[in-house]
Amino acid sequence: MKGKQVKLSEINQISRPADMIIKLVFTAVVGATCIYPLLMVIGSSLTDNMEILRHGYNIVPRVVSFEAYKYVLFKSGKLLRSYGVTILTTAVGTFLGVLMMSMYAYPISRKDLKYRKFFSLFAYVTFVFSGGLVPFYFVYSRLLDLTNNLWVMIMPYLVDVWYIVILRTFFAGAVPPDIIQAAKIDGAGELRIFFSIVTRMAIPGIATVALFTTLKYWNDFQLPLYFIEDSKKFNIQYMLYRIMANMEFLAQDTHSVRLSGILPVESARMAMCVLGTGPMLIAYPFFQKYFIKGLTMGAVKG
Amino acid sequence: MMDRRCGQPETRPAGLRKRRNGFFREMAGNRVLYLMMVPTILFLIINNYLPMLGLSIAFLDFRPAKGIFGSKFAGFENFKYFFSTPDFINITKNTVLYNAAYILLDIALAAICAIALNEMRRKAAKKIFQSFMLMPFFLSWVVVNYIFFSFLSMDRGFLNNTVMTWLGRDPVAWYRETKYWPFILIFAQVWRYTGYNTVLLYSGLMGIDEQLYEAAVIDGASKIKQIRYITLPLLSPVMIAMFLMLVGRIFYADFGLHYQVTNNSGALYPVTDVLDTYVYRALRQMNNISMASAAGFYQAVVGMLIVVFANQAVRRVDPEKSLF
Repeated sequence: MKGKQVKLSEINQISRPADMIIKLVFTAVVGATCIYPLLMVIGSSLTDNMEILRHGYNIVPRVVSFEAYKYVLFKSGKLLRSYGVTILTTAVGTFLGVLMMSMYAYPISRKDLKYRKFFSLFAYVTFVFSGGLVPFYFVYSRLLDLTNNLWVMIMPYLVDVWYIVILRTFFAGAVPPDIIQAAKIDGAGELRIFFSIVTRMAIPGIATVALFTTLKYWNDFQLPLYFIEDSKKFNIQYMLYRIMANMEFLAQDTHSVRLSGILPVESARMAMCVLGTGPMLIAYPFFQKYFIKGLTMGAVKG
Repeated sequence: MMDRRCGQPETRPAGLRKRRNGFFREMAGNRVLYLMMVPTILFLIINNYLPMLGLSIAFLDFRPAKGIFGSKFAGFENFKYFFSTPDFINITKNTVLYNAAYILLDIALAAICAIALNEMRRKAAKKIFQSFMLMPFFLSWVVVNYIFFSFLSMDRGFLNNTVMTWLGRDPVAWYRETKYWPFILIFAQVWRYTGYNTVLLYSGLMGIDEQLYEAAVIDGASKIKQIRYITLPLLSPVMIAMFLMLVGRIFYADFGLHYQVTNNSGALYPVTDVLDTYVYRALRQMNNISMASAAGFYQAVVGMLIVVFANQAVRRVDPEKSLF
């Protein structure tokens, strides 16, 4: 029976020419839209600045130069600093956020918790009702007085109710109630059950949420746009944005007088772009397995 | 569901403690579980519930220094002001029409890509295409802006410097010409999300029972017929649920897309401005709190109604996926 099944699915394939055509179309479209632009940014970051000014951005550097990276990494304290801000807010935010969301999602996934319906609703209500930007802005800037404070780039993204839904589904699906019951009989407390049994069994779900949260913090420019004016506290995306809006912003550095003349503005922008995206693209293949698994499971309400 | 509670080990004789089987006993018995939820409860109160009350700013002559209780009541003045501007119709139209275009194209393209991926012959090839298609999803809108800028820039962009020269055309000031922007924005949105949506739908395809296709082969159905009569019907519930969930958010625009990719260029506002960018500019750039709060209130209320309707529709199609 089994042998026959395999044979059938092998017969039931599209023809080789059709397969070739699909692959060619995919290669052309994906190559032109997803790979080419990225290569152009990388190419431009390695091009001599004068060349860009003369001939525009291009994929193959006519004159190769590492000046941009040298400038970004060693000469401009500002850029390196913004990198540090991003790493800090991403690490703290992801850790705290995933912890908080898991600690909320787990209890409401437990069928023996009497008020789980109430607390699920308490979170889900925020899908429907939202205050929008204006009250949100005043809560953080006036009430909590967090303007120009690093926490303002961490706090608002700590909890995303969507991820609570995803985690809840994982906890309900991946952890059989019998195991929790058995651990209780063995004398394990709730915290111990949560941290040493539940979180381990739901790793794909937690990893997915952690990846999404990391991505959100790493790629954020909105919170600094709303709340941060002190250029020492800019994160990398916002720094990139400011450089885009005003190239000379890059030159207003501690050594600005000395450097402004030879500033490789165009290529340095692109180098920043590469550095600002690189870590996410490098981390992605390691996460991909969990990412796709988590995406599909989380979509179903538990 | 409730009777599952009784399945917990009862240590005391049932009848004796019956009176205390209420709120306090539950709280005491499961105190660790409830305490675990406290940080997020506090967060939701500050981050979500307080701003809901803050919507009342729209009815005040709000002065931040005086706070909500110190500011004077203004009735519907702010709304009169906002609804009388020509912006109101324009940003509503832009928000809804752009989102409608995004939703339809996103789902159609993702379905085509998912089916094509599914039929592709080698597993390794499927994986590679999936990975590269997802790549734009990992870029921030700021970086997307840089990429688009490197194509569209007036003096250094690839289009003006290379493509237009090949075609023998004059360079175009892309960031000033409104007529191109509906296409550029739609392209940018579809470009960023197609990989992501494809993965979602593709994983829906993975769940289809192989035996259905086998039966079809035995009956002599061609590949096209299998797609038409098995794959599409089984994929459509996922597509409909996705459609309705996105429609629920139709009144909320993608701020990053409309603010960054357009380079916040003033010349383009008539065709690129949406509710979210408008509220932001009114609040932070023009310092016009009454305008911003009225527009924000309008968005919150209409947005809420649409979410509720969409959710009712989702429940009809697939009760599992509805929120409440």
